[in-house]
Amino acid sequence: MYFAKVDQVVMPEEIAGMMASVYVGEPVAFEVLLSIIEQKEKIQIEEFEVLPGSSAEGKSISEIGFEDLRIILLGVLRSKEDGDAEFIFNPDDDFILQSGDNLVFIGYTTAISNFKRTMQ
Amino acid sequence: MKVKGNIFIFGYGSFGKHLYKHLSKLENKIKIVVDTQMDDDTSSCKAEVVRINIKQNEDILSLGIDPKKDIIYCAMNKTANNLFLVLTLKTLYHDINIIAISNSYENARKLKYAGATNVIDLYEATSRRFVNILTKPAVTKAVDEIIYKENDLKMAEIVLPKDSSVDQKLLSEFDFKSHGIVLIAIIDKEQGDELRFVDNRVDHKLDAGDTLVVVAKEDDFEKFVKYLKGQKNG
Repeated sequence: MYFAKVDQVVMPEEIAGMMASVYVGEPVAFEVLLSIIEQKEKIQIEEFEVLPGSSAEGKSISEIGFEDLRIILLGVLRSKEDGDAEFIFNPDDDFILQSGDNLVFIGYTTAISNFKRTMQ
Repeated sequence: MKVKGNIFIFGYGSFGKHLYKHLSKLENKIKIVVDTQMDDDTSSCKAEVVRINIKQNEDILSLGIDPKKDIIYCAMNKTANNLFLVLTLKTLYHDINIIAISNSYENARKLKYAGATNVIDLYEATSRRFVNILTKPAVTKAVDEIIYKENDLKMAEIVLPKDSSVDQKLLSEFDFKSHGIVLIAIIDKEQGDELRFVDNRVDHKLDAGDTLVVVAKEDDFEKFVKYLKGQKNG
């Protein structure tokens, strides 16, 4: 498939294998994983792109106040000079958000809607 | 990675082979169990392979499964066989941990109803991933980094030990971030067995026996586990 210039190949058995290996000794983490991946509960994993002029642009992580907005920030996806993007996990409080950054976070649907509205 | 009992993988078709590939990276002993009625090719498998008739209770009992420690993966290619196996195992061992692989929502529902502890719905997870690649590329990248890629980032759980460093503290009082930890969810024993995502609406007092689900870099996680084991006033 890759030779045929397909960008991404998704193999169900491969995904199941990787998910299953998380279970061993970690049944609660597995439960969380399933909830997030299958999105069957009101909890969701979401992303938000910082656009030019967004209220998030130029602010530090601590200034955003994710906890007060009931959002669990996992990390920030930031483009590198070579065009690739790097996932910066759990950035420091003084990490300054730039336009083009993508925030990846977990939260309940209502909190996510509220967060996106506030950050626009 | 916490190591408990043995892993039994029933079936060595396409599902079973992929499961083995990933599970073989763990330290647990793995046994592949193949039904004598099936023609699963195990010639390249490095694990111990046992051939039994899964319809015979004596054959299953002969495997020496320890239901308190071992984990069972029902990964035969035919759902009907997995369903039969789940029902049999639950009859023989009431409290056993069974993870079943399903190829549809309907089969996932049946397997769960039959007693599987957890069901991985192949096509639910895959179709969700297809959608995410298109609509949530950053989420896809983050999930890849945390779950699928072999790097130092991981999702893991910690059961708080007795007299841990955070014992009797409120969640809001403890700075997980300074330890490189992102706390996702908690089972607060005082409030039952329900898994709750941590979203700052409700504070929790941390006690021995509480389970924390976190995302962290491997090094930070190990340091955090050691930190927790330190005496509260020590």
